[in-house]
Amino acid sequence: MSGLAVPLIARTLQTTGDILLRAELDFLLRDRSGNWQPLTFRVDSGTEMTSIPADVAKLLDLPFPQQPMSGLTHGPTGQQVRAGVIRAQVVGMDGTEYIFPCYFLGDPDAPPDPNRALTLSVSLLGLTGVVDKIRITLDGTPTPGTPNGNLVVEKL
Amino acid sequence: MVSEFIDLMAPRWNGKGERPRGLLPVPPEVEAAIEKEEARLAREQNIVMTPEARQRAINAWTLEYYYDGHYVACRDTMQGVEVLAVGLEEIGPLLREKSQEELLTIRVTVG
Repeated sequence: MSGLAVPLIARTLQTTGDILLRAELDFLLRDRSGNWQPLTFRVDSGTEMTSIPADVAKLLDLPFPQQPMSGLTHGPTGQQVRAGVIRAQVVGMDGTEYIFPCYFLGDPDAPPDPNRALTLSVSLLGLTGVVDKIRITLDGTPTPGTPNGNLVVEKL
Repeated sequence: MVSEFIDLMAPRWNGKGERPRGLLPVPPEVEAAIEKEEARLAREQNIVMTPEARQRAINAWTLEYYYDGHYVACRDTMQGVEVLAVGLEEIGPLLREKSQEELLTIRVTVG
């Protein structure tokens, strides 16, 4: 299969009653041993570069540079940045292995912080080096099977 | 940049603090929210959710109820969502002991 429709995920804010939508996509990432490790990404068209928290990358044994980039930090958080790539398959598609550029954010050896903000925890799928390989469409047309619509992913 | 709206009225933020493992029990709050959502869809979209869509919503909202903002390793089943490990310190050892075949059935995500 060269295309995939993934239902958008909704949550209801108790405070306002608003229904908030998000798009997530499950990937398999190749680790240092050549095995595939699962990781869910938030699809974010406002993000320039795909990113993974460096401690999560370490946990999954993904290959990434040892040294952070000198002179480059992640603007919203001030975290250090390691610039690398991920080798990735989209779960549910045809098994194509993509190579996406990826920034690994933060200190991979930092102790776990259970109160870490969501913005520092979520792996984001950005545009650079991705949208020239897969087409990503957000389609909010409701159906009985997908009442909030779909994230549609197609191989280019 | 991912948005983060913290719902202080949501159960997790009210400090119940339950962190069950295994097949998660569906909280009454989630059952009520699903019923409310079904009513909204019928009223506004003239849509009746399929059983699969309903179960998917139950799984997502139950995971969010207990683990909003936390890393979990989990599996979706038609009986519900099964949590295998919580937090990076638990997930690491779990992944290392699983075979490649088993890893393909697991999601590592933020609840």
